[in-house]
Amino acid sequence: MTMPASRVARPSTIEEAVRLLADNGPEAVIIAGGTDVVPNLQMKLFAPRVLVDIKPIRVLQGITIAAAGALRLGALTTLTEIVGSPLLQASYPVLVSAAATIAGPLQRNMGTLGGNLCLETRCLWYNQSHFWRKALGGCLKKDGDVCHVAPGGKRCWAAWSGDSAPALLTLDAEVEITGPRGRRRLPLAQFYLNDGMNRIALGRDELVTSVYLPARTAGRRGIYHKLRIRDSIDYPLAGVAVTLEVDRSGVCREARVAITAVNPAPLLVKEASEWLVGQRYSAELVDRVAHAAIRTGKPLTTSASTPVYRREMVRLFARRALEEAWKNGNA
Amino acid sequence: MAPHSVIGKPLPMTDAPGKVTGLGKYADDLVAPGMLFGKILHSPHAHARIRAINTSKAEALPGVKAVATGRDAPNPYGILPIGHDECVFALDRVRYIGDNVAAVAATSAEIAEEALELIEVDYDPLPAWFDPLESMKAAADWIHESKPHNIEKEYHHEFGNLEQGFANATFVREEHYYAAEVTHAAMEPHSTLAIWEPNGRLTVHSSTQVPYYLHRTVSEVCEMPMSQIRVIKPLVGGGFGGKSEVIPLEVAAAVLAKKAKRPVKITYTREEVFYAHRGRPITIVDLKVGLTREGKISAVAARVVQDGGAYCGYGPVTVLYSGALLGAIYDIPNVKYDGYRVLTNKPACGAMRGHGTVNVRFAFEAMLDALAHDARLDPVEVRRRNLLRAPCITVNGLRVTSYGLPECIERVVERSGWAQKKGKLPYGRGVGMACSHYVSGAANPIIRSNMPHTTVHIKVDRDAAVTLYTGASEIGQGSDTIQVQIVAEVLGVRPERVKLVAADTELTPVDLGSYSSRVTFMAGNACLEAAKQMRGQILAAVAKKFGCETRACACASTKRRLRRSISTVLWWPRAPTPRRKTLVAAISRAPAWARLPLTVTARRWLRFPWTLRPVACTSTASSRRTTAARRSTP
Repeated sequence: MTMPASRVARPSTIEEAVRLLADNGPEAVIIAGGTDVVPNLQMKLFAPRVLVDIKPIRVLQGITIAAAGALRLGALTTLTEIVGSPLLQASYPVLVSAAATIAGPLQRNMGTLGGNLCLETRCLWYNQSHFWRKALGGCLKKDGDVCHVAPGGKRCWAAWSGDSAPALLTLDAEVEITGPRGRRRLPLAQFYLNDGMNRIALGRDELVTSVYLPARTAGRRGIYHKLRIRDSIDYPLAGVAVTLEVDRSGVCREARVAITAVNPAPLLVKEASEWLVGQRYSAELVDRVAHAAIRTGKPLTTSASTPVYRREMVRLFARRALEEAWKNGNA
Repeated sequence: MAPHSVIGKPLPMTDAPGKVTGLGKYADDLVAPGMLFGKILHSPHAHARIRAINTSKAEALPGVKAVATGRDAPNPYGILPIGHDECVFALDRVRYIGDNVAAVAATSAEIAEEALELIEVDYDPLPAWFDPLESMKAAADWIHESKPHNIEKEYHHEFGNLEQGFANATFVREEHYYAAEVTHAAMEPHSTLAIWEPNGRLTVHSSTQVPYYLHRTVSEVCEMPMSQIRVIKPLVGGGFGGKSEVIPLEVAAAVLAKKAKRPVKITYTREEVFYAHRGRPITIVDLKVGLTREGKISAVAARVVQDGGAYCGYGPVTVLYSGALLGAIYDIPNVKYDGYRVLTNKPACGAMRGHGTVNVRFAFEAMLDALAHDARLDPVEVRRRNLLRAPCITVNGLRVTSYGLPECIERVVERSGWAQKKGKLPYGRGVGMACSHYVSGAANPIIRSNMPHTTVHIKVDRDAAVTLYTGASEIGQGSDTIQVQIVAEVLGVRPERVKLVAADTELTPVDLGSYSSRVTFMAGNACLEAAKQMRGQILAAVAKKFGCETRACACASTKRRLRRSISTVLWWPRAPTPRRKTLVAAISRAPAWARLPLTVTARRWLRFPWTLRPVACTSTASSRRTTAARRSTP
């Protein structure tokens, strides 16, 4: 499979990148590590005139301490850097746990945090070659008007298939976006639109520049579990991230449970925080939260694995992650 | 027999250095001056008539050097003589999504892909068949007009007296089994470089298990004599049966090269590998087996439907093997088999590891466990009670010369800790057993003839080099290495000394290919024969020169393990590999072997080449036909 003929622009500042995006509109696609974009280009899912390679923008790299003790992760921070960061390992273990499961080591060396937060949504009927899709006649998301997952519907159910986003949701992370009108910060939960076609609240002329982790969630116990066919490399087919703050007497003070790959967005399980705070561990409580997690999830036939199996795995992962975080501290 | 010095020793594979250093070339690594990139246009319809194809826009695209359609190469082909039902590009009908419609050769892969988009094909879709059981009921719109009701081939065999067999049974079960389709997914996708030579000849480098059949097919499709075509198999990154018949891209590259008069390379994408397929078919098994009170199998009846996809390929052989091997591994007095190979509008199936036997064997072994349960027998015990007594001929005429199963079962029982584990492990854990067998050696050639299945040449020239010319195809299984080992063993040389030229139809004699686990048996025996003849000629010349008897002469590369009656030894110098240099030097300084008793004093050591006239230096042998398992049915 060949790549479409695109011009590669290599801006060295954020301003330059924003200008390139604004000038080229829908004809431009941002590329950083390329681990998501390149296969999609080979499948001709899009054929941009310009690839805006943001790798040379120095200020987007690295992990630094920001105001009020928050931690700023540049959008170009590689997933390997996250996995190997002693600071993150000590303070935000859930993010390390999730990043370590993303694809394989080669992809983590190239792939960036910003890229992982802006992944294309994935679907059995979408992530296919040009020929395959042509033989099918396209789908709602690309070159067609029928959704093969939910025929008759006018909504795209392509699944959000990132691993770092659910972990960051459980840390109350914020995402910083830069565009022609300057910088803005958005709680990560508001960044995702739960729509397979229009997946993130990012304008065509904007780019994600940083992620902020608040000081108040530092030190929370946390763990991430995911389902995939090949443990060495695959995208998640279901995933659960959990963070807990448990006091010395074993009472939960703060709790977040987030799920991924079973909806067009990574989602927080709202009931989890309400039900868990102020409680001690009990198997019955954990079961109840796990059940809430599968009610939040809406897996459909977007992957080769069945929705029923993926739902059950969400329940299992939620239960397992809660138990591990509660009983063992940081896993 | 003297102990072997090369055979049975753990040696590096002869092709390993090239593979691990990257110096070795696979088909896609090859380039030729002026090479074009070929891309194939696949059908987006599962079943459709082609009304018209217009390639003019594609031809007009700058950089496009040739566009080929069915009209350029209308001769049908197929691996089996009874199944010439494929054309390299569809003539008037496409039969599965991915079927080959046309191809483009252009100066870049990008241009070739762009040109594919410009080919206009007017399709008239037909009803398509995806389920083999539905396909068998089809009253019209058959996938091939010559195959009514979409049945490619059916077999109905009955051996013994089935009715009596079931009457004797105490336990009878009828079960339904379904086995899914599998493809080989060899690490190397198929790739072919076809080079049109200025002298009007064609050289085809291809990732294939069967250069000889490819040679024949290219000749038929391109309408060129075989003598004008050269097929070379470079390194192959795995086959598993997926490269054991001619794959569309191989012929497509040849047709494009001939048309463009330029070298053309086509490498499949992983997706195209799945369209080319030739994997193990969906197999639907309805099985009835009877067991006597004593735990003896009394009768077996099987109905097998295989979903073969859109073309014949190896299909009739697959469904034949499914039945033929049903009666072999155990002592089964009565057996009935009804096998159907059904066409559907899907990629064609073919040979894959344990051709035809695997799915039915799975069903049979599962059934045997169920019957053992009914009879309150241990799964091991029920198998023990049904063993054959080799040598014998089974009820369906398979000759079993050696067996090994009883010993194998006992070893497995012992080493698996069967007695301690069976039925005693915690929930979710368990041990189970199943037995399997397959036909190896390929007793019958695919294209029937009385010609040898394999021929090798060995050359020994005045440079003291031993060169083995063999048609056998190394595909990662070690065939090059084992042939070198055999020749080295017989000639008494170190394996590093034996140079191997393999699978190049211009240089090497015919071998039928790497399938049915036949290479060590067939080419190995040819190597053995040829090497013995060569040794005989050399030693006869040595004996003549030194006026001694031939049987008092021997070839050796080490000074050990020689019979005491040997008086004259032809000593092959060691190959000068860097590691060996020191060794050779050490020997010359301190000839430990010279002090060994019984060896040196009475012996003459000759360095090769010695000062004789060159001896006749080519030797040919062909293998005997296998008697390991000759099928009773055609």
